[in-house]
Amino acid sequence: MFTLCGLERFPSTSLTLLLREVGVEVDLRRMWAEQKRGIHVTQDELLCKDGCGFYGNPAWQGYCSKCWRKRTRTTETIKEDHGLPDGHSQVNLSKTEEKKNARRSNSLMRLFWGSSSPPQQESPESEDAALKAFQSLEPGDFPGFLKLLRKPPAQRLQSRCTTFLDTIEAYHNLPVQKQSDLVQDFYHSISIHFDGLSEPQVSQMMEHVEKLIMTRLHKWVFCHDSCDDEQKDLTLQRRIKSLNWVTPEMLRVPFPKGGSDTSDPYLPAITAIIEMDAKRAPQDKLVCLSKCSQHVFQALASESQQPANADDFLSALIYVVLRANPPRLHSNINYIVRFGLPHSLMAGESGYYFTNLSCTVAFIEKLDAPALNLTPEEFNSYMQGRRASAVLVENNGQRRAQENREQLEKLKTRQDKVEQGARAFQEQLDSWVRSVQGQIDEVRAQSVLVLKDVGAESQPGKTVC
Amino acid sequence: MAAHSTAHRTYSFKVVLLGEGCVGKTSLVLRYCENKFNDKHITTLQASFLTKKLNITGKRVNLAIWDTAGQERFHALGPIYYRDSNGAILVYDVTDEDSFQKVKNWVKELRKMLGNDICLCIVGNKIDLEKERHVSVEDAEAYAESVGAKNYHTSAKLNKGIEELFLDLCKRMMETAQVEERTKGNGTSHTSTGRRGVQIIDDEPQAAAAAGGCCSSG
Repeated sequence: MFTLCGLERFPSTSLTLLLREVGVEVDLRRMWAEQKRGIHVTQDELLCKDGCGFYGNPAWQGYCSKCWRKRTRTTETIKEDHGLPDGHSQVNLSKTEEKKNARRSNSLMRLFWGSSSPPQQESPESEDAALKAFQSLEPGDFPGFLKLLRKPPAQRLQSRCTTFLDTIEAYHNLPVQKQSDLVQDFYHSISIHFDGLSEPQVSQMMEHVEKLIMTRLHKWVFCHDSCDDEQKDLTLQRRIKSLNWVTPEMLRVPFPKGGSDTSDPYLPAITAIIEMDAKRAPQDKLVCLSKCSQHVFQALASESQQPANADDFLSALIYVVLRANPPRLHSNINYIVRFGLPHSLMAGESGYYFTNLSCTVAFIEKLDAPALNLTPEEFNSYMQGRRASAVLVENNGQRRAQENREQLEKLKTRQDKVEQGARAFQEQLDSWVRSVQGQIDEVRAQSVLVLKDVGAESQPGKTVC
Repeated sequence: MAAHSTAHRTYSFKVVLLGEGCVGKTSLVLRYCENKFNDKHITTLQASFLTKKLNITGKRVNLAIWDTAGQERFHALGPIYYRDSNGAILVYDVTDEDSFQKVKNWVKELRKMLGNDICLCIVGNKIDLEKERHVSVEDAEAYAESVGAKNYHTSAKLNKGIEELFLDLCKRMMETAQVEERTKGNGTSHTSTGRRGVQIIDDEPQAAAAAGGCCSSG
């Protein structure tokens, strides 16, 4: 949570600051966004305004990098020329100030627009320093990566990311497929930054870049208006809901006998896959999926001695997805395909799990009677809810009766105890009453004797008097 | 994935493992990756995704072995699994004629989906049960040659022929990758274009009776 907040705030504040200092009208962005309100964007609109044939960029007011650089240079020289005709004393002052400003804005420009200076102009030392800094990062240390981005050696990478984010946000009305292409092209071009690193380090850095980019872009491109993801999410959700009667036995998933809901060994996996929707970066979603898969393997291992093969795993994953009914599953899958790093989807372990998840969805969508070892009639009656409800009610009733019986049993034993206690108490009370009675009798017997004695003594005294 | 000079590049290959339920797929990969067979002390939870690092003539190879769900009910899902794979290992049981028929179906499907880019290995497992053999060596060899695949004989139980199978497959995949690189040259296209969109092609399983009837007995 904490790191996400930091990430969200960091680039945008630095961006507005930079914009103000450089003096670019912030309205420009809005202007461009309004111009592009429609989904359709023609080729001409994307091209550089100078007509050089390269693509323009809204961050460069619609120019390509070269033309933009040319333009900014000429405006700067004009500015400096304007400073000259003033008074002599002022000229010196304004000249130095202008120079200072120019240098400042120049460096800021370079910092902000980044790619306006071609890579060849970068000094090899700074590149080396950046690579060294990247190499020193611990694997998976995303906060460390963010800190590093703020330091001078990584300035170029940071500016490229910022510029790219700016572009995509300005073009957020483009069809999602185009946005996906843009993001994938960006990954490809950014990977050249890390050419000097070893392969695992490159993928590590690319994962950081993906997280940085996609955490920001998630709200723009997830479940985009230009595609029917939302519709498909609903269809899938309804489909899974209508299949709530499918049991582990039908899917041939190993399952402990007589287990109730709370003892479901797949519960951790179900929780993990539901969590997937809450994550923003594609890799974090994949991490959730991997966690889910590990839990599935653990549950399978507790049921069988042999290591799980693909058939066991896929069946169990289908069961997990049916039980979980993960929110926006279709959108999540498409989002990962469109905006995830290609290498993690094609090669790695998470890629394997993702493929299985795709298979699971395909299976659920096409699920029919033979796949569950049922006759078509049975399948239909289940689907129409007749049989399902019967089974459910029966199961529920049985379970409730069992629970009631157990509770009654407990009550009975408790009542017995109470009765015993009461009886013992009664006896105690009786014996106490008896003992008190006995004491009273004893005392009375004695006192009667005394009284008698007194009476016997006084009477003769009276008669004597 | 990124363009590296051929001297110190690392090859990453995806190999799919296909085969019917009881042909010994799992035993085969576990024997290869962990050198274990029916061991009480198998520590791995799963045999569905395994990796192996190799060094072949000074070149590093990362092998990712993907087990695929082979049951009939998962038949339509095949294409999702073997998208973008460099090699396929198709396992049949030499004592089980049906499992060999299944292999033939998969070969057809793989060739249809991936063309000639994929290196196919047809593997007759359980050669320790030679006495009960139902798929003759000649049939298997002839069939493999007819579809541009190679035939191997293995026994996971006796650890026979498995090392050779994977080594040979890696070498072939490296050759294919090099040829591909040369033809592509310095083209600007990169790998991300071909991977999008999960498509499921559901075709009816081929009638098993049609195949393999023409050979003379002997």
